[in-house]
Amino acid sequence: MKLPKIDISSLPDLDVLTGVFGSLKHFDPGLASSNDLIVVLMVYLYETMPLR
Amino acid sequence: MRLDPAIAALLADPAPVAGASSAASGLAPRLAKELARFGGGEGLDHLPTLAETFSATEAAASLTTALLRSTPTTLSAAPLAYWSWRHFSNGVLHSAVIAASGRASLSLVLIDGAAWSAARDSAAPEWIAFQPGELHAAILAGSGAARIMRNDSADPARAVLVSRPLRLENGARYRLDGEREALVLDAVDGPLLTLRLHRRAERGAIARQYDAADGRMVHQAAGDAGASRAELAMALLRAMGRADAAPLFARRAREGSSAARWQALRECLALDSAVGFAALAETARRVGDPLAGPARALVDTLAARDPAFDHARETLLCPA
Repeated sequence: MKLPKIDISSLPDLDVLTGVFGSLKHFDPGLASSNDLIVVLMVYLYETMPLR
Repeated sequence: MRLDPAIAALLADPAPVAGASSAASGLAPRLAKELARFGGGEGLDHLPTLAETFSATEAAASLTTALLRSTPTTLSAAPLAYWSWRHFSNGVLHSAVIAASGRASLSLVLIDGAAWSAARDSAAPEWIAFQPGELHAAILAGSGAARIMRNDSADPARAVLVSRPLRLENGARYRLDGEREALVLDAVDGPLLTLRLHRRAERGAIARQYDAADGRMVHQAAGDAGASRAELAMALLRAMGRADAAPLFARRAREGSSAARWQALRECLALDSAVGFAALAETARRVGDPLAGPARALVDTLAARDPAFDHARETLLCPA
C-alpha cells in the first residue's frame, strides 16, 4: 500500500494534552522527587575508526 | 591541554575511583532481597525487614547510621572516587539514592528549612500534585508541619480534596498512595532528614495537578519516565526517517496510556503513512477503546484529504 507522506504537525492532538514526565507547574522544590524528574535520552553515534 | 596530576595519577592506577563505590554499597543481604521483591511489586506487609524499617522507631535511624558510617571517611580519603549513590540537589532538597531495585528505591532526603522558606512563593496558587507511585517515609531528624491531601473524586478532571494535618518530627512516619495522596509542606524548621522508600508506578500512569482552591485540574503529565523517553525517541527516529522503526511504533500504539498511544500513532503516521494508517484503522475498529473515536475521526479526515487514504480506508475498515 503506497500512501502520501503526512506532516506530523497536520495531525491533531487529543482534547486533553499530557505533558512530558516531570513537567509539573509551581512545584514545591522541597517535594521534588530525588529520582527521574528528568527524561534522559541517549543517542549513539557510530563511526568507523581506521585500523592502524 | 592541562591534566591535573591527581587525575593523571588515576590513569595509571584507577583503583581509588572505584574505592567509594565498593565501600558505599552496604545494604544487608536480607534487606536488599526484600527491596528487590518490593521493586517487583510485592506488598510491604509481606516483607518483614523492610516493613520494620518504616514502622519501628529505631530501625530507620540505625539503618541510616550504619550506611553512612564509612562514607565520609572513604570520600575524604579519595575525593575523586566514584560515589555509587545517585545524588541530587536543587539547593532546597538534597538526596542520595542508597539502593534501588526494579521499580523501588531507598533514599535519604534532606530538606534545608531556610532555603525552603526563601524559595517559597506565598503568592503562587496552591497546586497539589498527585504522582502515581507508593511512598513510605520515616523522619530521622528535624521538624516541620505538613498536610496529607487526599483526592476522593472519581472524575480525573476535578478533584475532591480532603486534608489531614501531619506533624513532621523525629520518629514520625507516613505513607502515600501517590495517585490519590500528596504531601503539602507548611513549615520546615531547620534541616529535615527523611528516609524514603519509593516504588514507581507501572507503565501508563498519569500524574495530575489540581488547584486546591476549587479542585480543577491544571496540568497532567506522563506518570512514568519510560513513556516520555519513548515519545522523545520516536520523535528522533521519525526525524531521522528510520522507516524500519514503524512496526515498533505501531506496537506502541497498542499499549500504555491513551496519551502515549495517541502520540505513537501520530509518529507512526508521519514516519510511514501506510503502517501508521493501518495502525490507526485498527484502533478505530477496536470496541471499547477510548481512542477508537478520535482514531475514527482522523481516518475520516485523512480520507477526505486524499483519495489514496479514502481507498485505503475502504480496504482496511471494510474487508470484504
